[in-house]
Amino acid sequence: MAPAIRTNNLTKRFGSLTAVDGLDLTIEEGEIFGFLGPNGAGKSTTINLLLDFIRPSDGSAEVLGYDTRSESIPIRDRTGVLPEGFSVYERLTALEHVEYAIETKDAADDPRDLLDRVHLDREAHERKAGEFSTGMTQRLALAMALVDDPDLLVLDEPSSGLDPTGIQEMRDIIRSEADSGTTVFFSSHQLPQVEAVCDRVGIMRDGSMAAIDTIENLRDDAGGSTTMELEVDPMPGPDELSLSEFEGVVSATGHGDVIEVTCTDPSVKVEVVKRVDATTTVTDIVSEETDLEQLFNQYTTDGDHAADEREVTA
Amino acid sequence: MRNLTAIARRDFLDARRSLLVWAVFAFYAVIALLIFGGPTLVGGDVSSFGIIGLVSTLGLFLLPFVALVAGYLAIAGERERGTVNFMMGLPNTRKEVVLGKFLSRGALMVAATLVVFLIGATIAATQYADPQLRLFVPTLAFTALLVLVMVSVAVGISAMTASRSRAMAGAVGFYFVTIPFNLVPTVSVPGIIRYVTNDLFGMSLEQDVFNFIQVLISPAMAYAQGLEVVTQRMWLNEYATDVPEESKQQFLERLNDQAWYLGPEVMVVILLVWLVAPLALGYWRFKGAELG
Repeated sequence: MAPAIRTNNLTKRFGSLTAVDGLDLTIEEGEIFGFLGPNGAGKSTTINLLLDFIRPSDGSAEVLGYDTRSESIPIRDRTGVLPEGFSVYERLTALEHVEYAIETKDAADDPRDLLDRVHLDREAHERKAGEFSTGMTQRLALAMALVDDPDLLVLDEPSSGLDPTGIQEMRDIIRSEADSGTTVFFSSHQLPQVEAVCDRVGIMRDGSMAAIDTIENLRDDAGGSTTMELEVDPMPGPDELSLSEFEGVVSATGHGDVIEVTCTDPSVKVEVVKRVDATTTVTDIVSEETDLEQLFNQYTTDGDHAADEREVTA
Repeated sequence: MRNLTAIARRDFLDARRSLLVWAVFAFYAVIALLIFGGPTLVGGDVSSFGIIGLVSTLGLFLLPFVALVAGYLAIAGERERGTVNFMMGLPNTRKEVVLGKFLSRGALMVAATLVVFLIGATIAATQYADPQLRLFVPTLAFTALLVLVMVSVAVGISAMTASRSRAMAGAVGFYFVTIPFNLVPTVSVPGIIRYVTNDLFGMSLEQDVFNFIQVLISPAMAYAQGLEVVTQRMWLNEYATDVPEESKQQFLERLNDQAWYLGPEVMVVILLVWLVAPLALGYWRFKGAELG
């Protein structure tokens, strides 16, 4: 079985700017793939290449086994697209939008069912899309993408403009599509969207993949570090604790009455707490795993591992 | 080509709800009432031949303008607004987009033209002393063809440009170069060519050659030239009963004296080329365009 998406040295240059730089990416069938990266990293350019909106400067790509350049129609026939930077036809109703997609794809869907699925109120079905809020527009676009039960869903920043309920509903739809065998490829610059649903994530930076793996593995690669917050009274003076002496402590900072300690080796936590408690009184302890936000920042800011920056003030 | 009709129907639906389109229709209807109905109010013997001469002159300036307005945003507008991402995310080819847009805008303009002629023919049949209704047939045929050609030009320009402002510049430029400027010898393309060939190089090319260049570069001029000859011939042969036979023959001779390449059949060919070429060129540019 051909992978859902395979790019081969995919490159796109705009003048002197290289937006996508020799990308080799394989997405297996049925996978939910989160395509992460800061704005301008080349995510939308990659998606536009896959849909033949723009043409590669070098390399090639296949979607569902079809070449993106010569076989774009069969690709788009079996793919549901929620494009980036789209706008709706202001004078057409929500229903007419979905009917248009159904007609174009020669599908048998009931447009109202699809609009119900994306939780667009019945009252809005007959309204002109020009009056819609960003969130409603996003739901409408998702309904259009779901037409004809696509084999691949390509969603470019699907959660932008959605409220938390909308984001949750979007996730549920993505999951249920994946359960029915649809491959989901979606981009986001916001981690929580991806963390919650994705089997695998790729982090794009400056046109190439900085990292690609499951979230657990990425966490391990990033050092599998743990952050601990100790609430103390009183706050000890600088250099009084020298916590960075411990093997496995990455950083220790103090602000207000909280000392924040990040360590790569969880077993050192007890030693840290003991030393702090010997100097002052610990009133509260909060320990958490590295959240993906930090992981994301590690991959997308300068210096691949933030752990290199040892900062000790407490 | 199922998608072709889907695109055209959706675009037609969109346009039908646009105020601009209704404004154009209303404008057309008012013009039709003025031209066809106005003279009957003044009184006297009104015949269709005189009125249709007026229609072709007015049509020369007005129809291309309206058709360009109706079509110049067809694709460029979608690209600027971002709706093109929907259209191209669906399994539509770029050829279907260009042709679908031409179909919907063309249908719209032809419908408006039919309304005008329906008003005109009704007024002529009921109010004119001499209705000469058969003259409406070639006039409608030529006018409908011109309207379609100008929509093709507009959609072609629209397909070549990525933004509203460029499409507008293209449409305005086309209008002025091929119509008003084309009539002023000092700035027209044939006038400039004549200056080079006849004045600078002393060649003595005859006026018909420059008249041909004038109609060749301008579908509206080809329309006016073709329609004029056809309706004048028809009038002389069928309706000009009160004109003495001698002057009739003189008139016909003058018409036949023009070079063959200024004949109505050639004008139809020029118009047909203009119908296809802008769409083909527009498609060729749009096919290679980068969207999004």
